[in-house]
Amino acid sequence: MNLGRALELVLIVLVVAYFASRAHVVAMRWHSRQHTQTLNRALAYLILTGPHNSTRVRDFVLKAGGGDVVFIGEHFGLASVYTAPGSVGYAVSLLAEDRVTYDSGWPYGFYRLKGLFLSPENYTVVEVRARA
Amino acid sequence: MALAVALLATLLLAALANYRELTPEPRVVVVRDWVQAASVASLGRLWIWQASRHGYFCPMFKRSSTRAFYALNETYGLGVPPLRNLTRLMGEGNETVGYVLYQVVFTRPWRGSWRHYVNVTVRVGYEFLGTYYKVVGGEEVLYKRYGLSYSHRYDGPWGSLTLCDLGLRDPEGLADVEEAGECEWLVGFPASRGNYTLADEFGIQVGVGWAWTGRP
Repeated sequence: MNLGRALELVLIVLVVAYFASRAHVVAMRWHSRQHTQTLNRALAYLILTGPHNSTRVRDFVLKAGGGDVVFIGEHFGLASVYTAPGSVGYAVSLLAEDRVTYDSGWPYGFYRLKGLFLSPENYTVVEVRARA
Repeated sequence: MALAVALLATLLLAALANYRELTPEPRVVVVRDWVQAASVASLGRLWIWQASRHGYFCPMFKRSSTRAFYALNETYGLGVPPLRNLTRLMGEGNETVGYVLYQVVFTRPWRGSWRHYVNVTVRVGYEFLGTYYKVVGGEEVLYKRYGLSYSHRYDGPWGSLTLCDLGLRDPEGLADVEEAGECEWLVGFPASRGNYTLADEFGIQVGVGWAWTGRP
Protein backbone atom coordinates (compact mmCIF):
# COMPACT_ATOMS: atom_id res chain seq x y z
CA MET A 1 0.00 0.00 0.00
CA ASN A 2 1.49 3.31 -1.01
CA LEU A 3 1.15 6.55 0.90
CA GLY A 4 -1.60 7.89 -1.37
CA ARG A 5 -3.81 4.85 -0.74
CA ALA A 6 -3.26 5.06 3.01
CA LEU A 7 -4.12 8.76 3.01
CA GLU A 8 -7.27 8.09 1.03
CA LEU A 9 -8.32 5.40 3.48
CA VAL A 10 -7.77 7.71 6.44
CA LEU A 11 -9.74 10.46 4.72
CA ILE A 12 -12.62 8.10 3.95
CA VAL A 13 -12.75 7.02 7.60
CA LEU A 14 -12.69 10.66 8.76
CA VAL A 15 -15.38 11.71 6.29
CA VAL A 16 -17.65 8.80 7.18
CA ALA A 17 -17.20 9.54 10.89
CA TYR A 18 -18.04 13.21 10.37
CA PHE A 19 -21.00 12.30 8.17
CA ALA A 20 -22.33 9.97 10.83
CA SER A 21 -21.90 12.63 13.51
CA ARG A 22 -24.02 15.11 11.51
CA ALA A 23 -26.51 12.60 10.17
CA HIS A 24 -29.16 13.54 12.74
CA VAL A 25 -29.94 16.70 10.76
CA VAL A 26 -31.42 14.73 7.90
CA ALA A 27 -33.89 13.08 10.25
CA MET A 28 -36.30 15.93 9.55
CA ARG A 29 -39.96 15.72 10.40
CA TRP A 30 -42.45 17.64 8.34
CA HIS A 31 -45.34 19.59 9.70
CA SER A 32 -47.82 17.09 8.34
CA ARG A 33 -46.44 14.31 10.46
CA GLN A 34 -48.68 12.79 13.04
CA HIS A 35 -47.28 14.45 16.13
CA THR A 36 -47.55 18.05 14.89
CA GLN A 37 -51.02 17.42 13.48
CA THR A 38 -52.01 15.95 16.82
CA LEU A 39 -50.77 19.05 18.61
CA ASN A 40 -52.45 21.34 16.12
CA ARG A 41 -55.72 19.58 16.70
CA ALA A 42 -55.28 19.38 20.44
CA LEU A 43 -54.83 23.15 20.55
CA ALA A 44 -57.87 23.66 18.29
CA TYR A 45 -59.92 21.41 20.56
CA LEU A 46 -58.92 23.45 23.61
CA ILE A 47 -59.87 26.73 21.93
CA LEU A 48 -63.25 25.38 20.87
CA THR A 49 -64.29 23.68 24.07
CA GLY A 50 -63.56 26.12 26.84
CA PRO A 51 -62.18 29.44 28.02
CA HIS A 52 -58.43 29.73 28.38
CA ASN A 53 -56.91 27.98 31.36
CA SER A 54 -53.12 27.68 31.53
CA THR A 55 -53.09 24.43 33.49
CA ARG A 56 -55.65 22.78 31.23
CA VAL A 57 -53.71 23.83 28.13
CA ARG A 58 -50.36 22.65 29.46
CA ASP A 59 -51.63 19.30 30.71
CA PHE A 60 -53.66 18.52 27.59
CA VAL A 61 -50.95 19.55 25.13
CA LEU A 62 -48.28 17.59 26.98
CA LYS A 63 -50.56 14.56 27.03
CA ALA A 64 -51.37 14.87 23.32
CA GLY A 65 -47.82 15.55 22.18
CA GLY A 66 -45.88 13.35 24.54
CA GLY A 67 -42.14 13.83 24.27
CA ASP A 68 -42.39 15.96 21.13
CA VAL A 69 -43.56 19.06 23.00
CA VAL A 70 -40.54 21.14 23.94
CA PHE A 71 -42.11 24.44 24.92
CA ILE A 72 -45.48 25.91 25.86
CA GLY A 73 -45.77 29.65 26.29
CA GLU A 74 -48.47 32.27 26.42
CA HIS A 75 -48.77 35.90 25.41
CA PHE A 76 -51.48 37.31 27.63
CA GLY A 77 -53.02 40.72 26.99
CA LEU A 78 -55.98 42.73 28.14
CA ALA A 79 -59.07 43.47 26.11
CA SER A 80 -61.92 45.84 26.75
CA VAL A 81 -65.47 46.37 25.63
CA TYR A 82 -66.48 50.01 25.37
CA THR A 83 -69.78 51.63 24.59
CA ALA A 84 -70.45 54.48 22.24
CA PRO A 85 -73.85 56.04 21.54
CA GLY A 86 -75.93 53.25 20.02
CA SER A 87 -73.10 50.80 19.61
CA VAL A 88 -70.44 48.71 21.32
CA GLY A 89 -66.75 48.42 20.53
CA TYR A 90 -63.88 46.08 21.36
CA ALA A 91 -60.19 46.79 21.71
CA VAL A 92 -57.09 44.86 22.74
CA SER A 93 -53.79 46.01 24.15
CA LEU A 94 -50.84 44.64 22.21
CA LEU A 95 -48.66 45.02 25.31
CA ALA A 96 -48.75 41.39 26.31
CA GLU A 97 -47.29 39.60 29.28
CA ASP A 98 -45.24 36.59 28.24
CA ARG A 99 -45.42 33.45 30.34
CA VAL A 100 -43.71 30.11 29.98
CA THR A 101 -45.68 27.17 31.31
CA TYR A 102 -43.38 24.43 30.06
CA ASP A 103 -39.83 24.41 28.73
CA SER A 104 -37.87 21.22 28.19
CA GLY A 105 -34.71 23.09 27.24
CA TRP A 106 -34.55 21.51 23.77
CA PRO A 107 -31.84 23.49 21.95
CA TYR A 108 -32.43 22.31 18.37
CA GLY A 109 -34.97 22.89 15.67
CA PHE A 110 -38.70 23.03 16.35
CA TYR A 111 -42.02 23.75 14.73
CA ARG A 112 -44.17 26.43 16.22
CA LEU A 113 -47.95 26.36 16.52
CA LYS A 114 -49.99 29.30 17.74
CA GLY A 115 -53.63 29.60 18.67
CA LEU A 116 -55.73 32.47 19.95
CA PHE A 117 -58.21 32.46 22.81
CA LEU A 118 -60.32 35.60 22.57
CA SER A 119 -62.64 36.74 25.33
CA PRO A 120 -64.36 40.02 26.30
CA GLU A 121 -61.80 40.74 29.05
CA ASN A 122 -58.57 39.43 27.61
CA TYR A 123 -56.84 37.39 24.97
CA THR A 124 -54.19 34.70 25.12
CA VAL A 125 -51.98 33.54 22.29
CA VAL A 126 -50.77 30.06 23.16
CA GLU A 127 -47.50 29.04 21.55
CA VAL A 128 -46.55 25.39 21.38
CA ARG A 129 -43.20 24.23 20.03
CA ALA A 130 -42.80 20.68 18.83
CA ARG A 131 -39.45 19.02 18.28
CA ALA A 132 -38.57 19.04 14.60
CA MET B 1 -14.07 8.84 -6.95
CA ALA B 2 -15.48 7.37 -3.75
CA LEU B 3 -13.64 10.00 -1.78
CA ALA B 4 -15.04 12.78 -3.96
CA VAL B 5 -18.62 11.54 -3.47
CA ALA B 6 -18.13 11.18 0.27
CA LEU B 7 -16.61 14.67 0.48
CA LEU B 8 -19.48 16.19 -1.49
CA ALA B 9 -22.07 14.42 0.65
CA THR B 10 -20.36 15.62 3.81
CA LEU B 11 -20.15 19.19 2.59
CA LEU B 12 -23.84 19.17 1.65
CA LEU B 13 -24.73 17.73 4.99
CA ALA B 14 -22.57 20.29 6.81
CA ALA B 15 -24.26 23.09 4.83
CA LEU B 16 -27.70 21.71 5.71
CA ALA B 17 -26.75 21.41 9.38
CA ASN B 18 -25.46 24.98 9.38
CA TYR B 19 -28.59 26.30 7.66
CA ARG B 20 -30.80 24.43 10.06
CA GLU B 21 -29.04 25.73 13.14
CA LEU B 22 -29.23 29.30 11.86
CA THR B 23 -32.90 29.05 10.92
CA PRO B 24 -34.49 26.55 13.27
CA GLU B 25 -37.96 27.24 11.91
CA PRO B 26 -38.09 27.18 8.10
CA ARG B 27 -40.64 29.67 6.80
CA VAL B 28 -41.30 28.28 3.39
CA VAL B 29 -45.05 27.81 3.60
CA VAL B 30 -47.77 29.02 5.91
CA VAL B 31 -49.45 25.91 7.20
CA ARG B 32 -53.13 26.38 7.91
CA ASP B 33 -54.90 23.76 9.85
CA TRP B 34 -57.48 23.41 12.57
CA VAL B 35 -55.86 25.80 15.02
CA GLN B 36 -56.36 28.84 12.74
CA ALA B 37 -59.99 27.89 12.18
CA ALA B 38 -60.49 27.43 15.93
CA SER B 39 -59.04 30.92 16.53
CA VAL B 40 -61.60 32.26 14.04
CA ALA B 41 -64.34 30.39 15.91
CA SER B 42 -63.16 32.17 19.05
CA LEU B 43 -63.87 35.50 17.28
CA GLY B 44 -67.33 34.30 16.23
CA ARG B 45 -68.10 33.30 19.79
CA LEU B 46 -67.08 36.76 20.99
CA TRP B 47 -69.62 38.27 18.60
CA ILE B 48 -72.30 35.94 19.96
CA TRP B 49 -71.35 37.02 23.48
CA GLN B 50 -72.09 40.62 22.43
CA ALA B 51 -75.33 39.71 20.61
CA SER B 52 -76.59 37.72 23.60
CA ARG B 53 -76.37 40.89 25.68
CA HIS B 54 -77.76 43.42 23.24
CA GLY B 55 -80.17 41.47 21.05
CA TYR B 56 -78.35 42.17 17.79
CA PHE B 57 -74.92 41.83 16.21
CA CYS B 58 -73.50 45.33 16.56
CA PRO B 59 -71.64 46.27 13.34
CA MET B 60 -69.19 48.45 15.27
CA PHE B 61 -68.37 45.59 17.63
CA LYS B 62 -67.77 43.29 14.68
CA ARG B 63 -65.55 45.84 12.95
CA SER B 64 -63.51 46.75 16.01
CA SER B 65 -63.04 43.15 17.15
CA THR B 66 -62.06 42.09 13.63
CA ARG B 67 -59.47 44.89 13.60
CA ALA B 68 -58.14 43.68 16.96
CA PHE B 69 -58.13 40.09 15.73
CA TYR B 70 -56.06 40.96 12.67
CA ALA B 71 -53.70 43.08 14.75
CA LEU B 72 -53.03 39.98 16.85
CA ASN B 73 -52.82 37.87 13.71
CA GLU B 74 -50.14 40.21 12.38
CA THR B 75 -48.26 40.60 15.66
CA TYR B 76 -48.08 36.91 16.50
CA GLY B 77 -48.09 35.42 13.00
CA LEU B 78 -51.17 33.30 13.56
CA GLY B 79 -51.60 32.58 9.85
CA VAL B 80 -55.32 33.34 9.66
CA PRO B 81 -56.43 34.01 6.08
CA PRO B 82 -58.56 36.99 4.97
CA LEU B 83 -62.19 36.41 5.88
CA ARG B 84 -65.72 37.53 5.11
CA ASN B 85 -68.61 36.98 7.47
CA LEU B 86 -72.33 36.73 7.78
CA THR B 87 -74.22 36.99 11.08
CA ARG B 88 -77.77 36.07 11.90
CA LEU B 89 -79.90 36.31 15.02
CA MET B 90 -83.33 34.66 14.95
CA GLY B 91 -85.68 34.25 17.83
CA GLU B 92 -89.18 34.41 19.13
CA GLY B 93 -90.89 33.53 22.35
CA ASN B 94 -92.88 34.46 25.42
CA GLU B 95 -93.00 33.21 29.01
CA THR B 96 -94.19 29.77 27.93
CA VAL B 97 -91.98 28.76 25.04
CA GLY B 98 -89.30 30.30 22.86
CA TYR B 99 -85.95 30.00 21.14
CA VAL B 100 -82.99 32.11 20.01
CA LEU B 101 -80.50 31.15 17.33
CA TYR B 102 -77.20 32.99 16.91
CA GLN B 103 -75.18 32.18 13.85
CA VAL B 104 -71.85 33.44 12.55
CA VAL B 105 -70.52 32.20 9.22
CA PHE B 106 -66.96 32.90 8.07
CA THR B 107 -65.86 32.37 4.49
CA ARG B 108 -62.34 32.46 3.08
CA PRO B 109 -60.93 32.89 -0.42
CA TRP B 110 -60.45 29.66 -2.32
CA ARG B 111 -59.42 29.41 -5.98
CA GLY B 112 -61.05 32.64 -7.08
CA SER B 113 -64.21 32.36 -4.99
CA TRP B 114 -65.22 32.31 -1.33
CA ARG B 115 -65.93 29.11 0.47
CA HIS B 116 -67.23 28.19 3.92
CA TYR B 117 -64.53 28.14 6.56
CA VAL B 118 -66.06 28.23 10.04
CA ASN B 119 -69.66 28.37 11.27
CA VAL B 120 -70.50 29.06 14.90
CA THR B 121 -74.07 28.40 15.97
CA VAL B 122 -75.49 28.85 19.45
CA ARG B 123 -79.05 27.73 20.11
CA VAL B 124 -81.23 28.37 23.15
CA GLY B 125 -84.69 26.83 23.49
CA TYR B 126 -86.98 26.78 26.51
CA GLU B 127 -90.40 25.51 27.48
CA PHE B 128 -92.49 26.09 30.59
CA LEU B 129 -93.14 22.79 32.42
CA GLY B 130 -94.99 23.78 35.58
CA THR B 131 -94.50 25.07 39.11
CA TYR B 132 -93.30 23.69 42.41
CA TYR B 133 -92.75 24.91 45.93
CA LYS B 134 -89.35 25.18 47.51
CA VAL B 135 -88.52 26.03 51.09
CA VAL B 136 -86.21 29.05 51.14
CA GLY B 137 -85.23 30.57 54.49
CA GLY B 138 -88.09 28.72 56.26
CA GLU B 139 -90.72 29.92 53.78
CA GLU B 140 -92.35 28.11 50.92
CA VAL B 141 -91.66 29.92 47.68
CA LEU B 142 -93.38 29.22 44.37
CA TYR B 143 -90.88 28.30 41.65
CA LYS B 144 -91.39 28.01 37.89
CA ARG B 145 -89.79 25.07 36.17
CA TYR B 146 -88.59 25.20 32.59
CA GLY B 147 -87.01 22.70 30.24
CA LEU B 148 -83.98 24.31 28.63
CA SER B 149 -82.01 23.13 25.62
CA TYR B 150 -78.70 24.85 25.00
CA SER B 151 -75.83 23.99 22.69
CA HIS B 152 -72.90 25.37 20.69
CA ARG B 153 -72.09 23.96 17.29
CA TYR B 154 -68.81 24.58 15.51
CA ASP B 155 -68.48 23.59 11.87
CA GLY B 156 -65.06 23.85 10.29
CA PRO B 157 -62.19 21.80 8.85
CA TRP B 158 -62.70 19.32 11.72
CA GLY B 159 -66.29 18.59 10.63
CA SER B 160 -69.05 19.41 13.10
CA LEU B 161 -68.56 19.67 16.85
CA THR B 162 -71.53 20.10 19.17
CA LEU B 163 -70.89 21.13 22.76
CA CYS B 164 -73.40 20.52 25.51
CA ASP B 165 -71.21 20.72 28.60
CA LEU B 166 -71.00 24.50 28.67
CA GLY B 167 -70.74 25.16 32.39
CA LEU B 168 -74.12 26.87 32.74
CA ARG B 169 -74.04 29.07 35.80
CA ASP B 170 -76.46 31.17 37.71
CA PRO B 171 -75.01 34.64 38.32
CA GLU B 172 -77.74 35.56 40.82
CA GLY B 173 -77.70 32.28 42.71
CA LEU B 174 -81.50 31.91 42.90
CA ALA B 175 -82.14 29.16 40.37
CA ASP B 176 -82.12 25.39 40.50
CA VAL B 177 -80.16 24.17 37.48
CA GLU B 178 -80.14 20.45 36.87
CA GLU B 179 -78.81 18.53 33.90
CA ALA B 180 -81.56 16.45 32.31
CA GLY B 181 -79.87 14.92 29.26
CA GLU B 182 -77.65 15.77 26.32
CA CYS B 183 -77.84 19.56 25.93
CA GLU B 184 -80.96 19.56 28.16
CA TRP B 185 -81.48 21.13 31.56
CA LEU B 186 -84.26 21.65 34.06
CA VAL B 187 -84.25 25.19 35.41
CA GLY B 188 -86.35 26.41 38.29
CA PHE B 189 -86.48 29.97 39.61
CA PRO B 190 -88.81 32.03 41.83
CA ALA B 191 -92.09 32.64 39.99
CA SER B 192 -92.01 36.27 41.13
CA ARG B 193 -89.14 36.84 38.69
CA GLY B 194 -91.20 36.20 35.56
CA ASN B 195 -88.11 35.14 33.63
CA TYR B 196 -84.47 34.45 34.35
CA THR B 197 -81.03 34.70 32.78
CA LEU B 198 -78.20 32.21 33.08
CA ALA B 199 -74.72 32.42 31.55
CA ASP B 200 -72.38 29.84 30.10
CA GLU B 201 -68.65 29.54 30.75
CA PHE B 202 -67.92 32.00 27.92
CA GLY B 203 -70.25 34.59 29.44
CA ILE B 204 -72.94 34.16 26.76
CA GLN B 205 -76.34 34.98 28.26
CA VAL B 206 -79.00 32.30 28.18
CA GLY B 207 -82.57 33.53 28.58
CA VAL B 208 -85.17 31.32 30.26
CA GLY B 209 -88.73 32.57 29.80
CA TRP B 210 -87.62 35.32 27.43
CA ALA B 211 -86.01 35.51 24.01
CA TRP B 212 -84.56 38.09 21.68
CA THR B 213 -86.84 38.50 18.70
CA GLY B 214 -84.29 39.41 16.06
CA ARG B 215 -84.83 38.53 12.45
CA PRO B 216 -82.23 37.94 9.75
